Amino acid sequence: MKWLLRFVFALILSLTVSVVSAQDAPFTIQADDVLQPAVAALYEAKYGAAPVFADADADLLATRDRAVLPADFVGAPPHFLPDAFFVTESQQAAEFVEFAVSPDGQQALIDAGFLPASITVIDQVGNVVEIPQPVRRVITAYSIATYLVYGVGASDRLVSAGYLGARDPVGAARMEAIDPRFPEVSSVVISQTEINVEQVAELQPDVIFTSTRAAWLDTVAELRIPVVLFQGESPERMKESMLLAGQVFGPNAAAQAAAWVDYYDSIFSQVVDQTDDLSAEQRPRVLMVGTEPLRVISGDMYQTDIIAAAGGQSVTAELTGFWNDVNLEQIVLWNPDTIIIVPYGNVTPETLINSPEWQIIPAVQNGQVYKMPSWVAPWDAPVPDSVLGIIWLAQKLFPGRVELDCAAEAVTFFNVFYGHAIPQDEIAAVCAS
Amino acid sequence: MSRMLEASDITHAYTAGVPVLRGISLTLEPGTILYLLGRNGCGKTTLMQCLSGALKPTSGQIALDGRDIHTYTSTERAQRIGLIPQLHTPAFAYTVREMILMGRAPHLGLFGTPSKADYVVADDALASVGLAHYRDRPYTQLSGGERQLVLIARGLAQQCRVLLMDEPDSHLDLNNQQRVMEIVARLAAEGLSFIVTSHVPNNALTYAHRVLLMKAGRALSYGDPAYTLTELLLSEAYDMETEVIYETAGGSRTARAILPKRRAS
Amino acid sequence: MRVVTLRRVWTAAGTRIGGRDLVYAGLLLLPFVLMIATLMIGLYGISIENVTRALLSPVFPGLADGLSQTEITLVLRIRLPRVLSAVLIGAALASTGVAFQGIFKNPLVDSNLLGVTSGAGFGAALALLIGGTTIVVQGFAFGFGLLAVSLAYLGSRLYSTAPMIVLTLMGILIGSFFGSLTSLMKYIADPLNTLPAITFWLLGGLTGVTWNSVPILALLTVLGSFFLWLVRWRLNILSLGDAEAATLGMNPNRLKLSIIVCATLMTAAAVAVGGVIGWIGLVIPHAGRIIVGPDHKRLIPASLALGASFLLLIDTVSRTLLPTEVPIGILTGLIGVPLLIVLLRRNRTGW
Repeated sequence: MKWLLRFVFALILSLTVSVVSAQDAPFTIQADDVLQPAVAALYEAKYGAAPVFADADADLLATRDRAVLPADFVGAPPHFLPDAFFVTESQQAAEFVEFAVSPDGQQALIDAGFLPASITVIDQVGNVVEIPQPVRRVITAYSIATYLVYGVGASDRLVSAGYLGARDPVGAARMEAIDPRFPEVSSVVISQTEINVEQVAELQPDVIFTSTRAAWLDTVAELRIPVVLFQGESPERMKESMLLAGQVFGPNAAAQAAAWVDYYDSIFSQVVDQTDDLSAEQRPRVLMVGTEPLRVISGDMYQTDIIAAAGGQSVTAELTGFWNDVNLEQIVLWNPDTIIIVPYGNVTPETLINSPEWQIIPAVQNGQVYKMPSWVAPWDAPVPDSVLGIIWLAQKLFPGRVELDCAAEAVTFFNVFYGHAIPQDEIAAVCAS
Repeated sequence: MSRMLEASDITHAYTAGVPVLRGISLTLEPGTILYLLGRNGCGKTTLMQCLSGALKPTSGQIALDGRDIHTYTSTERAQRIGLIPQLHTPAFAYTVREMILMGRAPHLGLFGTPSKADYVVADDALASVGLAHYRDRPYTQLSGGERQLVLIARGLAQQCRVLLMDEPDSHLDLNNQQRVMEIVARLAAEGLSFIVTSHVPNNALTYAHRVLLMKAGRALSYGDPAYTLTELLLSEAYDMETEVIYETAGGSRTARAILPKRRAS
Repeated sequence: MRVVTLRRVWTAAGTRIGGRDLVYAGLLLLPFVLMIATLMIGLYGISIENVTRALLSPVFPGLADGLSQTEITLVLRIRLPRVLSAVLIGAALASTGVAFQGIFKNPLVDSNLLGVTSGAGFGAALALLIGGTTIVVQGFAFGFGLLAVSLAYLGSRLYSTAPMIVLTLMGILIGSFFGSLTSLMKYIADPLNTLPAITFWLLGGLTGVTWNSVPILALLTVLGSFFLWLVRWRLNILSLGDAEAATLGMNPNRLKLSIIVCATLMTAAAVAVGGVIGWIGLVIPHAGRIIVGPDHKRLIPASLALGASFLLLIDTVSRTLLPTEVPIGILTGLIGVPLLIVLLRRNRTGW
């Protein structure tokens, strides 16, 4: 009798739930017993009702098994928990997935106890920073960090950001195509060197991203806003930067960051595999110049590692610090085979080719002077896009040897990490420059 | 030709209706020393500026060698009238000789530099004030009296015929006052003319050929020291009671000293 | 009537050559000797013989036989314009420093007193912001340098009293105004594209100098120095003050204005090519006074030679000490201060 009552009660309850769900949620969810409570919590928060779970052929799949993904899948599917993600093709369900990875979805999972209310990260100078979750508003006072936020798929949380490479009309138009909020977000820019604390306070950020060179850390510390410092001047540190940015924005961002690291590693190793066996003599001597023809990179900079990865050797690897000014006699002594000009600044190959003085450099005489391209973010800097810089540079140094296609990879890269389709013909022209 | 500098009925007002000089007339003859005496603010400095040609009086005429002083160019004027300023320290430590050579400016072109002849003139000027051995010393290291003598030498190197001296006896001890004024007197005897402002009436008594006693922009008295430096006029000029001490020798009475009288307390 | 009789008691100038005259003559020769010496030095080793042959090759083309194009280009297109620019800029900054100290009766000023460098700095920053080429940047720097001083001068004409003091005050005001504008330019400049270029320019240096920069710099420096040389003795009189200059028959204001115009043109040209190079205009005049005395008759030529030699020396160290260029601002202090202290020890007169 007792058993029967319990059964009837459960039956009535499930029928009631089914009726309600059938009205509000025209999609079914497949999830195993472990994931069901978390999915239900998200569903409750979104629709105020319990979801309908199905054992097969559901509109939405919640899983921890990457095997369900296509073999050639690049990137990370939307993660709602650190190890669990959604797969769907239904439009209705897509809206739910979007909610699940949003700060509101994060909040629902925090309330239900599936995610922590606060996390602790160690930034790139070793500071331990406690960051309450979810992070809804972020200021990037270091424009390289802005692209990290895009790379981990959290750009909707930017409230103020500097954008490298987006000052000119072309860059700005491209950036606005990627993110319609670009004009609004870039209207207030907090620089590394100067800060208006009241302006920062008014923006009510949950966290501030900046570089180790920021000059105002003590002032901002007064606001009790978590500050995360980035310094990605090597491939390893660059990867750490991405993972750190991912951590801050919750499970989905962390998964996107990890996916980027995988992608970066795969490209890196594909290039390195094809350049690894080059002897020192076979490695072209590369001079990378900056915003002045006589301003060169140092060995401490990320650019030196990019050159090495692409199979070259930077002639300025012995220099330390940041940018260095040199004179032409030293460049004659370095005798570079190829000169690469950074994507930004007014220096062009013509600047050197048309200069009578530079004619004494064989690389200039042989026309081995190139300006590294970029879409928006500069491909030489420690930003996610630098993976494309490695491909481009490898192809310039060893045409045909490295089998990666710069334009095709760029399309994939922007699709996956910026969620944006860039025009095929335009990127092909950029890559070919 | 005997009247080198002649001022007639000079009136000057910096602000219209508030004259600081009223109807001053004077005549300077070669080889004479004219003292301007009077209280602070009586108009001595303004009168000096008018006489040097730097300031054009509101009304009245100043003639230099019979010609209106303002018809001369500044160079021509500087060849005839020199000004010996009050003691000051220049920003740079010029040598005594370099200071004196500057007196040659009115005789050189804008782009000119002193020639050998100019050096001779300068060195002679220095010798005539008795400081030849100081030629290469920095001017800034000299004593006040020596600097005053160097400035006189500069006036000599300027080879002008009238030298205006602005309080040459201020900041100098009694010995140096005498040293400076004896040289002035000797140069006057050689034919140079001086106009001297001073707050030491006793020096006027000793060295002046003419005295202009001024009060509130007016000439209280003008003429021979024996007639201008009297107890009555001095008391009037300085708004105090003064006493003049005379020396009587051989039937003539000569004033020897001007003293203030103690106030009855 | 002649008051001063021409008694020849003391030796007149020029009749005896003393140690000081030898020092002076040596000083005037110094920049020429140093120019030849520093042309021989560079990171890229070229033998003295080859440098000499390269230098003479424009006149005797046969001498170029056997020289590599690299050697010829380095000597004629890199070292020579750079050495000449260093000489011209050093001479211009030092001599205008002397001129300004003289006419402002103040040994603690230089030709930037009226804001020429601040104006030029802003002009360069503005040109870099709008993406100008080297020539545009130099043109803007030059133009805004002149504009700053003109504004200071016009501002001072609003007052009739104490014009030099008001002019100085105006110069300081206009200078800080343009300094703020430059900060504004830096604030709105793209931190990756433009800001480094502005900072680089403001730091000063001759790293990128080519022949393109030399003609205007040379023309203005030579003409300006010639004018300062012509009026050099009058600077003595101007340094005594307006009133005394007037009693010595001068029109001080007209001459001072001419000197300000001349010095400003020279400084603007120097700053346009070399960026902001401090210290020389302030300190070289003092070194000059210690060596030849305060008389501008010798001080102007001496400061031309001393400024030229000093900047040439500094710049040679800057371009040869390390693989990277050592900023001139660091070297002027590190080399200049000990040199000045040595000179001060020998100085007996003060200034």
